[in-house]
Amino acid sequence: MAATHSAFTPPASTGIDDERRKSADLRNTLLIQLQQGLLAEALESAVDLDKARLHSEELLHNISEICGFLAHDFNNYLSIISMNCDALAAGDEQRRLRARDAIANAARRGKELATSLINLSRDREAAAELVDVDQFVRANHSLLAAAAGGESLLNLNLNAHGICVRVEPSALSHALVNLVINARKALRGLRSDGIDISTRVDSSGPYPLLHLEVGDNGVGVSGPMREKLFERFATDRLDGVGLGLASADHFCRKYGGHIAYRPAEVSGSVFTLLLPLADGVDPAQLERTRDAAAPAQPALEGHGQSCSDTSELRVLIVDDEPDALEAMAELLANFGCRVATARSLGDAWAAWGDTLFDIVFIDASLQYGEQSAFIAWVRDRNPHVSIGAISGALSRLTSTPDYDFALPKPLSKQMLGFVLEEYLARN
Amino acid sequence: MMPSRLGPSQWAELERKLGLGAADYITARVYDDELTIGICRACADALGQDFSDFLFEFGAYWIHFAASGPYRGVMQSTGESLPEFLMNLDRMHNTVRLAMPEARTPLFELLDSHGDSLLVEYSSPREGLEPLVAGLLSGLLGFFGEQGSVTRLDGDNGRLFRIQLGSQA
Repeated sequence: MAATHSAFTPPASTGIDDERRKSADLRNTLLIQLQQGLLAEALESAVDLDKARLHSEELLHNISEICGFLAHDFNNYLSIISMNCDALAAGDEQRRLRARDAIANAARRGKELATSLINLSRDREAAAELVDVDQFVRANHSLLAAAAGGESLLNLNLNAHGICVRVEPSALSHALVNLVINARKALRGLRSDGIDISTRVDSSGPYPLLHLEVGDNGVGVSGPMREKLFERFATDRLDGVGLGLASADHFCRKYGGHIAYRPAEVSGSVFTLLLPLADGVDPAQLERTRDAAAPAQPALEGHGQSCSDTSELRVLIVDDEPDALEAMAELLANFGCRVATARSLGDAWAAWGDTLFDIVFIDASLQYGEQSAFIAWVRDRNPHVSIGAISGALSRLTSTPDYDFALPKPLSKQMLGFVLEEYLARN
Repeated sequence: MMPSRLGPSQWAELERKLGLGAADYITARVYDDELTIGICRACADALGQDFSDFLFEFGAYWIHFAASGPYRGVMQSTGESLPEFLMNLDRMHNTVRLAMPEARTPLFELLDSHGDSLLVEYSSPREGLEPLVAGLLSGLLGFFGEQGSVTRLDGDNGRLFRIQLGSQA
């Protein structure tokens, strides 16, 4: 219907009508303003959510890539062990010795890799501690090589021997892994000399700083990006979110340092974590501290034969992994202990109910809810018993109930010997 | 407020402890009081502040936030002066309830407005948020460029507030 316009004189309004109209106008205005505000805030939320999603995706992507490299490394070690196991059956004594050394070496490297991963997964609330940076980088070499994309791509040039900083180790791992992953991404598709990790001490400033550098000869950082390199969500990579460098910067500042960027000499980037040296720590003193903290070498170590002191010890091992159970029983039997084994707490209860044990080893991940009751039962029977948790996961060992000691897997003859020595010393 | 008071990294740590992420800050969503108060208590603890002091500061900050962010238009439309704003406050809250029907908004009544003195009554089924109201009123003084003070009066469960305008207040 067409609108018609005609001269219209509104009726004279009363004060009440005015008030109502004003009130309705205000309500409408407020509603419009509120909806605009909600819309603007919703847009901000959407942007934040998208950033969080991208961050999660990048994390997942990085984790999957590292998992792939780690699986590759572990498979290499397992292949070495598997192939050399066959050689152990050979008649040639020299060949058997070489095979044994190769197996031991593969196990050591696998253990180093697992230790790096456990350190990386430690609680981020953990306290700062003295970290010898060169030693730390070497100890985490396998993990860093995995982040770099392979051992051949990682070059270490460590020149801060015995120099310590006071930081939280897992945070240092995260910062370093972030820088290495960034470097690897910068190298993607390019011929590369690899990723360099170097350390040195710079005493030219008001106080000495440890420089921990990660360098690559990749694409480098574009001019506009340099200004905001360490800001959260600043990135010029299509697959980047811009949190890795911000996180590394946060780590340095938290411990009194900072992060720096410089272009590499020919092409690429060098990122440096600059951290203050730990106050009053003399490297020689640290060396002594480390020696003192290291577990004493047990008298039983390395002999692999019966010792009269331990020949009367009755040991129970509870572990659901049959091969580990057998290997551990054999090692303890070699010390002369009388060893009983069980695959579960229930089996241990049923099969060894009347036996008094001096030492009991329990796989910490086994029937976790029942362990306290089992431990109480064992202690009730023998108040002098020593009960230890064994586990491949650090978190399990730190949260296990009521144990006298805890041993991380993989176990060694030295560790077991130390436990026996301790028990004998106490009793 | 918290990122600026604690620093972005410490706020991020606190968010992590509280289990908060980007998906928890959704516009126009009504949250349980228990959750909101729990977050406020954790923030007060992180700042080493008494909870009442924190609520007061948060109230004052909220006005600054609303007036400088997406809700500036709402603030400006509610009133051109402090008395007018206080008189229209319930209308503004009614509008909020139109957009968010589950929201439980308080009531405010300007009981008296003589010269430089305003008397405001606050009503709400919620307990213990009076320091937040004092902070909000204090923030409004700043929003309207006024100098003055906000006093919580004894009696009526401490839900009467005297706003004294002027530099001598």
